[in-house]
Amino acid sequence: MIRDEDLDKLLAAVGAEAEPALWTRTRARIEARRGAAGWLAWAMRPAALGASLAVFAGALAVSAALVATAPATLTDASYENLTEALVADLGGATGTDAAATTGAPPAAVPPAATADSGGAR
Amino acid sequence: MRSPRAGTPPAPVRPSYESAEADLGPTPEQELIARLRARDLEALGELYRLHGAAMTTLARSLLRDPEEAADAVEDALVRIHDGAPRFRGERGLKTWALRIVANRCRDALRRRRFAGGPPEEHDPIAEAGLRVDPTAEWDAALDAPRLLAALERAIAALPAEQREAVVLRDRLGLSYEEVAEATGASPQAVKSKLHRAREKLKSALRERFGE
Repeated sequence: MIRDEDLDKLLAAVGAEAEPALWTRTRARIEARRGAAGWLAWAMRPAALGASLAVFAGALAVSAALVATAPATLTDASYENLTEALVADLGGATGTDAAATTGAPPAAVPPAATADSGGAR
Repeated sequence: MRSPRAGTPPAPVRPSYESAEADLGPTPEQELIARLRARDLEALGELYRLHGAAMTTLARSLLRDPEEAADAVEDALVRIHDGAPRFRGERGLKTWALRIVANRCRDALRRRRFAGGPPEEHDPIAEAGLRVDPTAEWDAALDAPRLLAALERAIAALPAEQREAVVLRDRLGLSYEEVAEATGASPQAVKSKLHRAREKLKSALRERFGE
């Protein structure tokens, strides 16, 4: 029958050694994480955040200014669709040109022009 | 690897000048804890050099799969690095490290769908990535290789919490209090688990080798 003392010795006789490669791997993992965390910390700095917000606000202001100063030639007309708006725009432009050169009223747009995507201009 | 332990648990190693500790400054362990708290990677490497063998022995004894055990130890080291600033040092560094390894192993065991013992024809010690201490000595009348293999199979068949207690106490030489700290159980519960586990181990050996 196995004695307690023998059981103790048998149990304590088995073990394992530390693996140097495991430490190398762990160290690399922690250092890689530190690198990522460092970049995040840099990006979160108040100065970086402030600069980002300033750039964003500037971009918004420029966009708003461009929209406000853009020509609104079609905003007062009511058209059913884009084709009608383009045809009307084309007709208006043709009539204006004709009136300017001949003094005659704007000519009717030929049917073929409606199918034209604007190449006639 | 720890040398074979005889009967009683080894007393924690304490310097004889402990009472004059305040005058002599921090102990090496306290210094190491302070460096770990400061997230010093070299300190983590030193911890692994000091306690890596125990951490690896625990993980391999519990999981019985060297790859899975390596992952558990690696995760434990990362957690030690992350958690060091909150570690107050009230329990020893080794106990704390082993507690974290044990927790990782428990998580890994929970994820397993099947946890069968090693096949009969395989060497259960080598398969788990463990080895027998070449300096270990025992009664010449014992058929040590066969006993060791049978014992390893019996350990593998123990319920996880009993296996954990046996490995921490009988293989790694922790005191009951340290095992209790490492497992989150009371010392009384640890004693009870150990008693049941050792009875099962002896019974398994008796069944295999007779009285």
